[in-house]
Amino acid sequence: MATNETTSKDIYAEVLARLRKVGAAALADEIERTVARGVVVPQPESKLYQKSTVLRPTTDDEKLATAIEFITTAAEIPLMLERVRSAVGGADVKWLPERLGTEREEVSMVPIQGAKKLDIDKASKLLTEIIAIADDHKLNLPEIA
Amino acid sequence: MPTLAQLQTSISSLLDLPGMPAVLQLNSPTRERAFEAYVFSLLVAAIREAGGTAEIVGRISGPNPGVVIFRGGPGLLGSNAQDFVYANCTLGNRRFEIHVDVLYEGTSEAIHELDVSVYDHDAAQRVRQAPNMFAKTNKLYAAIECKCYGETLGTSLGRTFVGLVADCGKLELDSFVTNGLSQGLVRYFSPTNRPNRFFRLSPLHPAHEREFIDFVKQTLRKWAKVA
Repeated sequence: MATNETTSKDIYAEVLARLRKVGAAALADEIERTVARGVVVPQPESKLYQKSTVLRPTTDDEKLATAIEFITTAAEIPLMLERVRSAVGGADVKWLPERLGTEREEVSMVPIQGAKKLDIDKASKLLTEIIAIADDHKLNLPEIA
Repeated sequence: MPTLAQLQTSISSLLDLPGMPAVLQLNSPTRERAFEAYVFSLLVAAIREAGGTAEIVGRISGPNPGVVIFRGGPGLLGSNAQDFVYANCTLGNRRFEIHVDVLYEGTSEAIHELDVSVYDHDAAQRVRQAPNMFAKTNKLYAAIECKCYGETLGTSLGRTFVGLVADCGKLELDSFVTNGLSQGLVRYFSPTNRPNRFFRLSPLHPAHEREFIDFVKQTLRKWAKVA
């Protein structure tokens, strides 16, 4: 019987498209590279060994679980910065290189300023909700190769 | 039970929040620095909860700086190039400091980057007299490797940290912490002689946050001989 229920494959495809639309293509690319690596699974018995580990392609549920892990861990940065502000008590938190031009990695301050528009309570509530629904549906993060 | 369609709606609502695109555009080094600062703040909280004091000090401006400046990349403990902050702490009779992103000279004389570290206060004062000198690990009490979740979270990071810790001499506390999960790292850190590890360390997982704070509290209280 045909159904029109939403599947994890649909959500995964939509999430990647949405990320690219909001300018987070780097995050979408990172998710795609990660799921393409496949999943490591223990194998109780094989012809060669009593116990072994094999590599298999990522399933649709695992792809969605991986995307959710990337999105929730990236989206929670402002929540972490709130904790930092409350512990250090300063009016603002900044990152600076020791000497201009010597930094080996670029810390992008501009998006952090943009992120100040975010409603932390709403973001926290939605993130908690997403994690809870993913848990209910047993969308568990696999061992990525 | 909520349906997958509800999951889809929640994800869409999250991505639609004003300011969220800017958050998701943060590059990986920026997320790493933010996570390190968060772990620093958890250590500060742990010391205060343990009955100690933790005062935020700017390298140039002194206690309680108006703007809190962290290193944008690994640097020298005594550097006075910027007003980098550290936490000046006491617990029992111990005086020590918490630093973020500092380069140390290990027992082999190789230079190592430590994301979050706890260092002896008197030794740090001496290092600040010679700002271009690397602090040595013989007065290092704690080393914490912080990794914000990303595609590179894998066993190689665990191996690197184990090697780093081996070159630091005796430490009171050594931990690998991440806001994500890696089953490979869970297995890698499972032998009892490996550093402690904390996964899903994040404000979204209060139980894990509490577990880490309690662990730091207990370890430092025991070390400082505080009941």
